Amino acid sequence: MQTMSSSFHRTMLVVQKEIKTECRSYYAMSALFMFSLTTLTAISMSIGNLQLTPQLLAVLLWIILFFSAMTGLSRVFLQEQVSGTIQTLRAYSDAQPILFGKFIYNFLLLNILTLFLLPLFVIVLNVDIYHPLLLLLIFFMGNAGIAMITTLIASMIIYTQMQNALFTVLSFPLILPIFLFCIQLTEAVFVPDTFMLQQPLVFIFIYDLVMIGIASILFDYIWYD
Amino acid sequence: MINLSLTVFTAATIWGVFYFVPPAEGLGGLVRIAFFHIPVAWVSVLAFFLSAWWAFRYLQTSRLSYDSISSRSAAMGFVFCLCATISGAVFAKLTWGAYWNWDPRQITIFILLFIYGAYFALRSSIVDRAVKAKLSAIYSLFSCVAVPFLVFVIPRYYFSLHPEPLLNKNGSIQMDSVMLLVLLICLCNITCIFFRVLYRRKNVIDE
Repeated sequence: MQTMSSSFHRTMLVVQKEIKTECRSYYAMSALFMFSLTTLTAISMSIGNLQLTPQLLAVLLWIILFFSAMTGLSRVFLQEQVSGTIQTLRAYSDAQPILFGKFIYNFLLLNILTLFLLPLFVIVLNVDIYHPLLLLLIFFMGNAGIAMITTLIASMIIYTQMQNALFTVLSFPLILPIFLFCIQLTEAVFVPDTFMLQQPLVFIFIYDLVMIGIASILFDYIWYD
Repeated sequence: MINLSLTVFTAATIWGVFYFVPPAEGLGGLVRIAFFHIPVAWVSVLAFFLSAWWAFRYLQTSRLSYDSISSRSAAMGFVFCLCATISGAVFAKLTWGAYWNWDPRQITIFILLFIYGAYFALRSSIVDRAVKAKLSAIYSLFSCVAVPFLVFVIPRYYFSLHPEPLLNKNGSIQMDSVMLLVLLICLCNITCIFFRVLYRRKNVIDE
């Protein structure tokens, strides 16, 4: 029981450390936010006054979110490698607190990004959201899976040569199931008389759990040489 | 000897497909594409799981021979996956009128191709042999968990033009018995070819 509480404590310390280093430079935040803002502006300007169908809106929203995530989320491990602190981190803790600390941090970052992006999206593209709580739930579950997949991939790409390009290439196929189902669900949120889509929600939930479980197992192999 | 018997077996299978299988209702002779398409698609998924299995063995033992067979299986899987995609697209053009329309089955096979592509991109970008083996094994296992969702779950959710898979929801097989027999022989044949090519250079694996 004591080891459980101590690893929880360590996980939280890793999260704290991530937030502190982020607050020093705002690197990931600015990259994520500016990227999403740029894409959103590009889309809404080029679309002009066209009325988009719910399906198109859902697709656009998730594409913006996905590519923004690809710009900032690899930082969690890249930055450790660049600043040479990864060995210190290795000495500090065993694998699981590191993985989950960085996962929670990425998850928080994605949720903040969502909360930043959504109102702008609604304003700029003139969208009606009929089920706001359901939308938040969809994003919450989608973000959890995306955060875990990107955290594990980020820990892998620090050993490779073309890090950022590879990050997107490796993450995309694994995120795609979440992506497809989230688009389907989000589409339903933009329609007034929707029916509750339980099956896709359950699917995303199971997929998240499986991804978190397998990432936790595999990270041990990456962390210990 | 093995090569010769495999060649004879393959020739016999091809003969069976062209002269033994009756034309299907509504499809005519086009149904013969399925005798290539289904086995090839099956082998591409099999190769994927075998690759993941050897990746798992590598992580357990750190023996590089497991890594090389895992990557060779993935390479074979990629080729078979490509064949399945192309034969499927041709079949789609001839029956539905378009090569590609993002049918759920096409989505899943495309993602499978993508995973294979990402796997080889990862391998080519790492110089150190041991790190390459370890990371590609990890990626192989990570993506292997996603494949059942792609292959078995997604196609069930969306409306699809793709014919029901052989093992469908009801568990019943709706196929002419001659066709089924030939199909099983084709499956066996393509699987044999896969293993033959996979093990062709077993003795020159660099340790």
